[in-house]
Amino acid sequence: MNERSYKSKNVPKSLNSIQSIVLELNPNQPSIDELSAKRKQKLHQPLILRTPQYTKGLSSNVMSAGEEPSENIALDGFALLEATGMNFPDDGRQVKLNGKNFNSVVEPDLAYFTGLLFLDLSDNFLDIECFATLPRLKELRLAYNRISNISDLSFGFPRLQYLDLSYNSLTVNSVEALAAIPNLKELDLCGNNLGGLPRNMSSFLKLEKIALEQNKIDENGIFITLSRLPTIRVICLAYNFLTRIPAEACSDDHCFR
Amino acid sequence: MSNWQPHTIDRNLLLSFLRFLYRICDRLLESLDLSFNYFSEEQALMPLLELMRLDKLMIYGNPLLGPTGEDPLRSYIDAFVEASYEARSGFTDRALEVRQRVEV
Repeated sequence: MNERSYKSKNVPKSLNSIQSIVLELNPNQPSIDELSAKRKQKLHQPLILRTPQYTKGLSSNVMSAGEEPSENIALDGFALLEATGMNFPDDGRQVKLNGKNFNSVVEPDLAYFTGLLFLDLSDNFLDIECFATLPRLKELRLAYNRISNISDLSFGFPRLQYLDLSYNSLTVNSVEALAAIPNLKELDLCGNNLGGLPRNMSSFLKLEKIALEQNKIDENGIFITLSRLPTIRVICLAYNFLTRIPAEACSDDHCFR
Repeated sequence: MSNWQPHTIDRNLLLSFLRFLYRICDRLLESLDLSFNYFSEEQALMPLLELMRLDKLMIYGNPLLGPTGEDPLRSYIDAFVEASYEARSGFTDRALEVRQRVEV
């Protein structure tokens, strides 16, 4: 049994008159383990409740879930410059513009942002291709942008190392197109409803970390595909439908080398 | 006259040495998160024992850890853990960290 006293100036007088509060352990109360399990369960609630759109839906000044704005809301140089907090576009290093409903980009304006390293445009309606010309970009976050198809990215993203495309609707072919990014080290593909990966993943020459949480991967052959990534160090496959590791994935022919 | 030649190395010895180097150096995977999938038996994970650089393996939330998906005492995966020690002895000092319990 624990006994503690509480007194504070900030609480009503009636409460200050209380001398002590006796805290008794209730035998019916759930244990710490049960509580942590419940909390974890809450964390792992269905995808729709955890996506940025849900959070967005909680605020009053936005549209309903998944609805694209009817008018054109363009991401232009002025919006980018304001987000950098700099006076000149080439001084800007990072931009974060989440949930602004941008559905197009004034691409000629991007040419002025030659020093941009970090770009977070999650929860908009933008495609990835238009940012391919940013010469120094190292980290690009485009989570929840309703991206389904990615066309040719050859000669783009010369310095990109981290790419977040979580909670989009990418196809397997779109994932294959990402192999054209020459220096990609970390790729986040969580929550894309992917059933598998392209057969040939060996083109991701520098990929070290891949996140594939909360997809619909049920082919155990995914391990063989992943084992062909030449420099992979970290793989996240939580919340899928996998049942076993094929021996071939760890054999001498593949062996995550 | 002796057949001994200074540059001749026992072929089996060479092969086992190369295999040793191969196992130590060539496999890069360090962390694998398989939590909340449908692995139902230890045997399904056994191929991972070949990966000598694998440090962390997250397997909580899988049926093989019993009805709760957590196995703090490792009673359901004792054979796998023991096999991982055996597979690594002589090759590396790094033990495989198997996370079988959800961390809050």
